[in-house]
Amino acid sequence: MKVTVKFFVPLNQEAGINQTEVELPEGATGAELLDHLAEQFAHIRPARERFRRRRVYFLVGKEFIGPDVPLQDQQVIVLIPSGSCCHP
Amino acid sequence: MKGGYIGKILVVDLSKNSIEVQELPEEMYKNFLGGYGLGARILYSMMKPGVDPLGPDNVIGFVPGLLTGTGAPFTGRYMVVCKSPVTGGWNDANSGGFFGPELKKAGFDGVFVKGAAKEPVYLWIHDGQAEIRSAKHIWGLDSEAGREALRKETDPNAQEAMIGPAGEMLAYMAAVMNDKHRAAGRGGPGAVMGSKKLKAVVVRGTGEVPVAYPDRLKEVQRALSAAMKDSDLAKAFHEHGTGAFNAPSALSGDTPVKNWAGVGIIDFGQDGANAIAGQALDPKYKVKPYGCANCPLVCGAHYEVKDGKWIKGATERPEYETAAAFGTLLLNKDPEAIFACNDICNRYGLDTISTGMTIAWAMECYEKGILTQQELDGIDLKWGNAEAIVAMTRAIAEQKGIGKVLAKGSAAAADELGKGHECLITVKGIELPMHDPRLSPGYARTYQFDPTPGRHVKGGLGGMQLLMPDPSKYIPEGTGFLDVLLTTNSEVESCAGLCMFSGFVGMQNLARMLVEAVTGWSFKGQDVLRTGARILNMRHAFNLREGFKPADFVIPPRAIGVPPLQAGPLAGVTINAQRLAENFFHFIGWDMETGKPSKYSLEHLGGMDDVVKDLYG
Repeated sequence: MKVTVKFFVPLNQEAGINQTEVELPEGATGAELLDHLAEQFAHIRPARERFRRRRVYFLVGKEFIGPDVPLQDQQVIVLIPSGSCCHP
Repeated sequence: MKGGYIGKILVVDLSKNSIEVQELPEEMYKNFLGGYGLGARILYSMMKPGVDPLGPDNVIGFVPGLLTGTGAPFTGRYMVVCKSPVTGGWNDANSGGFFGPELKKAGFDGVFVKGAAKEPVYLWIHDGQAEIRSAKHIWGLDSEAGREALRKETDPNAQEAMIGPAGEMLAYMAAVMNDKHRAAGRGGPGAVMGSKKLKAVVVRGTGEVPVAYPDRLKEVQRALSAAMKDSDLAKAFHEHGTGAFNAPSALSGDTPVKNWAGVGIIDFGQDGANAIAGQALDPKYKVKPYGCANCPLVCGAHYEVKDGKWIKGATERPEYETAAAFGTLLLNKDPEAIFACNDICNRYGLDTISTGMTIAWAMECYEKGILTQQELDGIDLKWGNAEAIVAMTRAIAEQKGIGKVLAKGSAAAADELGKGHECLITVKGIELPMHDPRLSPGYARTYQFDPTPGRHVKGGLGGMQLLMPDPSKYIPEGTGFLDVLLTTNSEVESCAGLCMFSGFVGMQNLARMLVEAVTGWSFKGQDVLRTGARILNMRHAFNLREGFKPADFVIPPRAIGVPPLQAGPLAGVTINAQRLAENFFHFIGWDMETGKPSKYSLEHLGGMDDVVKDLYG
């Protein structure tokens, strides 16, 4: 299946792009998406580390979903970085 | 060999028009470092319980950190200490900029002011000398004009801690301002200065603060520079400052929304979040970066608004707390309205967190019909109405109409108006800051039971949990030890004079290494724990002596998910604040009912014989 992944600020700056399309096996979860992205962005340290450490939230439409929820074909997932001004 | 401290403080009595230099023993610095640690120790001795916070018997102290002025990196901080007119208890507020180092270079580790002047005055401190001068001609000036006037008649390179008109008019939300736009903001220290008719403390120093081991300090600085070169975080933070997280925090559940009753993704939306993102604002408004003294990170910025509706010309980039308090919290998507509110608060000397939160309270009251448009002097204080938000901020600053009531903060306003208490988001009368415990549950304990309640800059689990999407953070078991460890560490960092952002460069034990290099003391891990615990207990003892008990510190149910939100990332979350508090109290050795630290604990920590006597006879 194919999903569209949008990187919310400042993740877009960390990754160097605003969005990407990812091919995943049917029924893959958000956590598996992050594993994939950590490999895809292995050469960009801030993005790679954020994906590896799973420091993101998954936003689909106006709903937040957990990392264990299966994704769906053609879904648009916005990755919101965790952290804050006090602990980025 | 001594280092880091001068060994002298100034004690000024404005009622008697007297200035005294007091010497402090090294033991005092070893036990309490500097900043609010030293301040708490001194105020506990100088003051009696029960004094009116806005009366002459309150004492206000201006105390740089132990390492401030030595050139050690990240150590530009000073702290203002007093009894708070908001909480009626202990207060410390922390600011960066250049005032703190200048005071140390002028020859003093702190200035403590008691009494009250009959007419406006300022203190002029320069290279070991001090005098009380009339401030009648500058009373009423804002933080920018006041700074210019004071520099003109003292020294062009002088630094000042001063109040604007808000402090002069005794607004409980009044801050102490320095460098025009840096604020020791929380808990009303500006009102305490105003009550003493003390417009400013102006300092100029050309001396040197001793460093015990300059070579070791250089070594630490070199290691820090290397760590920073390798830190993506430091680079990002330099670029956009705290504003880098305005947008994601608005959606993740970090920033409270609609006076803590809303949901970012639903009520504010991605468009709102993007509108206030530092990354979007900087290219348009940023003129040049701003850094505090001895800061290698440089996370502030000067902005310029070219053709603004409310302000034009130079202003400062709002910090995250300010952007959240005047933006997301109020559903205001207009960044220039946020700049305007920030600018008004800086000029008049107001705490932006409490001001934004008080407007949020009034907005909710207005939307629910608790307050009418007539009561709000015709201001249509609907969620997201940028025009109304700026107008109300100005009314509070000028104390016009309803602004005079709101200038005391939301809790005092509710009391005075006799309504709206159900919409308050305060602990012990002070508004909560812009990090939601429903996302980072450790903040519940910090906000409720730090001796200065309602502070995001105090230690605890909350900050660390901001990084953790993992729901295991909601399990309230076994939190006590780490909570105490992080809290005591934070006490030491602050009182050493370090900025909390020094932790971003990824260098372990930076504060400890700097203390050792600068002072020449042995300062190991157990010393950090003991010193931090001592400082925490000293601040706590001030509150206990005022008669406070843990039951007096109530966290608003909404802030801990009672009832839980129905949508968004925090849907269904309820925090077990009671359990988090019990865990903390157990490890720090405080009784849950009386709040009293154990006698053994106080005696073991040392430096608090009078506290032991006061509590145990």
